[in-house]
Order: sequence, then structure tokens, then C-alpha cells
Amino acid sequence: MSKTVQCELCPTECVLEDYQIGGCKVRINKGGALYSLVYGKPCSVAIDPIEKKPFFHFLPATTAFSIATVGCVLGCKFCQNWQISQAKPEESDNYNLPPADVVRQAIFNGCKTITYTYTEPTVFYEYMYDTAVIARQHGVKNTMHTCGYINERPLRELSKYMDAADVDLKAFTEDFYGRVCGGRLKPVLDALVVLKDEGVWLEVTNLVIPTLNDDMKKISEMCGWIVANLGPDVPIHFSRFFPYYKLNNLPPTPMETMADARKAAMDAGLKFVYMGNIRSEAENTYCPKCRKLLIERIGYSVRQNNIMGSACKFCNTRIPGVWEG
Amino acid sequence: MTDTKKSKLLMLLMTTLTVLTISYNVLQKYVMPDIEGYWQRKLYYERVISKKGLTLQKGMYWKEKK
Repeated sequence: MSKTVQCELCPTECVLEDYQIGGCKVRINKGGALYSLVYGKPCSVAIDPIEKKPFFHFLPATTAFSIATVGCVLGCKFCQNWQISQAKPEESDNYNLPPADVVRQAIFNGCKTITYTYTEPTVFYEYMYDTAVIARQHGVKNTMHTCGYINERPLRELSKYMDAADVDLKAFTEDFYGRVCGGRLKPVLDALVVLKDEGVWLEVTNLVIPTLNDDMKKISEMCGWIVANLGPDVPIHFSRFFPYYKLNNLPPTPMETMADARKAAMDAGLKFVYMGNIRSEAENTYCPKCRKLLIERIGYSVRQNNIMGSACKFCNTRIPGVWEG
Repeated sequence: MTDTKKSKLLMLLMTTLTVLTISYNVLQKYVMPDIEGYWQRKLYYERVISKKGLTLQKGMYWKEKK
């Protein structure tokens, strides 16, 4: 009798022999059944400003109870959290924190949100899903920072309990995804469309890496795709790259490139374009109609918020996002 | 022992040796890595992973592969 199984969680769809562990490092075939090795065993637990995720249009100035386990579905050469994303669960120090305790801790610490972040939450899908169900029952919101490398069926099921997602759209070429991340672009675009379709509040992050994905034509193309498929209201965060992990031979992203990317996004029709890893006015939210300052941010802290209800305090234009919860 | 018997015995030995060599090569290439890999994985699980105190939670979204 065959004991081979096929994981259907992410588009890699690993085929695993008995006792074999998937590419994500956290899912094992034991005796012909697939098991998660990281359920209730986060390696990182922290309380962060929601702006750190980054979410700029989701309950500003609130805190997010943030958890991650080891493992990842991709292997990005620029990963900022490679020490945990590329680690094995048997090699890391893990907390013992079952789903109900995550929710209890979030409530105890006054967090309005639980965020599944730092590594790719798809790898701890069962843990995230069970936690999200309990959180929803207690009025705590669920958000995730994901690379979007997940199959449609599990994503649709998860979306029932997910209030917001920040998706890393790492580049707009299959070549980049293949060479630098070990994945494919198409499933990520599909996941973005599914999240939009399911009504999950969506923000997009793009790390601009010199020489690898800083072609303005491609950035314009990517922003055009976002406008056409997700709408012009989706906030986009361009993050500045700093040399790290396997890409420590590249320089930090020049400021001019960041400014060009922002301009390309605005020219494409995106209304809310931010720059991350840089202190500048591009961290602020402005009203797309009257252009007045709505949310002033310095780093992860909010200095002023001029959104009343869900609208601009000055001209009453509705500002897309989740502002009250 | 006659020369005919000797040559028959030699033929038999040669055939046996050839069959054994081919069988060994086939086993080494196709069967033994599977068995060796299985035991390596099983021992790693039992000696390292199960000692770590990780819980096994039944996964969602997978299928048996025939």
C-alpha cells in the first residue's frame, strides 16, 4: 500500500514519502497522513503597532498581537527574517501557545488584532485558522502578512475569518520569482484576486531591490495590474531594500528609485502610495480629493488622524479602509 | 571431472555471477535508496523531531497519492 501523500496547501504541492518533510520544513507525512509540526508552537510572539505590518488603512494606532512559527513556502534570497523562515521546527526555540491562549493573550494585552506575520503564515495554516475562528468569536480581528503563495481552496476558507491581508508582491516577472524566491508569480496574482473577491481588506507591499526588480516599466505594469484587478483604492507600500541574507552584495535602494516607483504607481492611478523603511512625507495618508493631510505618521507611530468615521474630516470624502473596529 | 562438465560448471558460475551483479546494480539504483531514505527519515524523526516535544496536528488540504 502506498503511503505517499500530496500537500495541497501551497502551489508547490509537495509529494511526500513516509516520514518526508515538505519544502516548507514544517509539514510531514507520517504513516500516510500529513501533519503540521508547528501547531501551537510559535517561535516569535510580540505586540507590534499595526503600522509595522504594514497596515496603513486598518485600525491605525492600534496594536497587533503578532505570531509566527518557523518555516516558509518560498526561499527568498533577501528575506529579512531568514533566521526563522528558513529554520526547522526541531532546531528552534518555540513557545507553547495553543490558539485559545493566543486570543486570551491578545485580549489581555489590549490588542484589537491578531496578526500572522514574520514568516509565511501559510505554513502554519491549521494553527492560524483555528486561532482566527476563536478570535472572531471574541471580537478580535485577524490580519496576515503573506507572500500570497497559497492555493485557492484553503485561501477562500481562511478568508471567512481574515479581516485584512498585506500581500508581498515581490516583483512582476516570473523570472524574479523563479530565480530569487523559488516560486511563481501567477499563484500570487491569483491569491490577490481571491482575497479581493472574498472582501478581505487588502494592502500590497513591494520591496524595491536594485538591479533585480527596479525596472520602472515593470513597476508601472504591476501598478496597472493592481488598478485593473484590485482597484485604485488598494494601498501600496514600496519598501526600501537594505543588503541582507544572500543579497548582501547589493546596495540599499537609492532614494531616487523609491521616488520614481512612487510616481509610477500614482501615474498608474493608485490613490494611496507609501514608502517604507524611509522617514518621509510618503508615510502619511492624504485625502485623494482635497489633498489635505489625513494621517501623519513617523515610523510606526501616528501623530495625527483626521479621519472621522470613515471619511476625510475636511471634505467628507470616504477613505477606503477599516477605521473602526 | 571431464572437460565438458568443467565448462558447464564454469558457464553456470558465470551466469550466476552475471545475474547477481545485474540484480545488485538494479537494487542499488532503484530499491536501496528508497529503503535507505526511509530509514534515514524515520530515524531522524524518532531521534530528533519526536524528542523536541512538537505536537503532530493533522494537516488540512492534502491527499493520498496512489
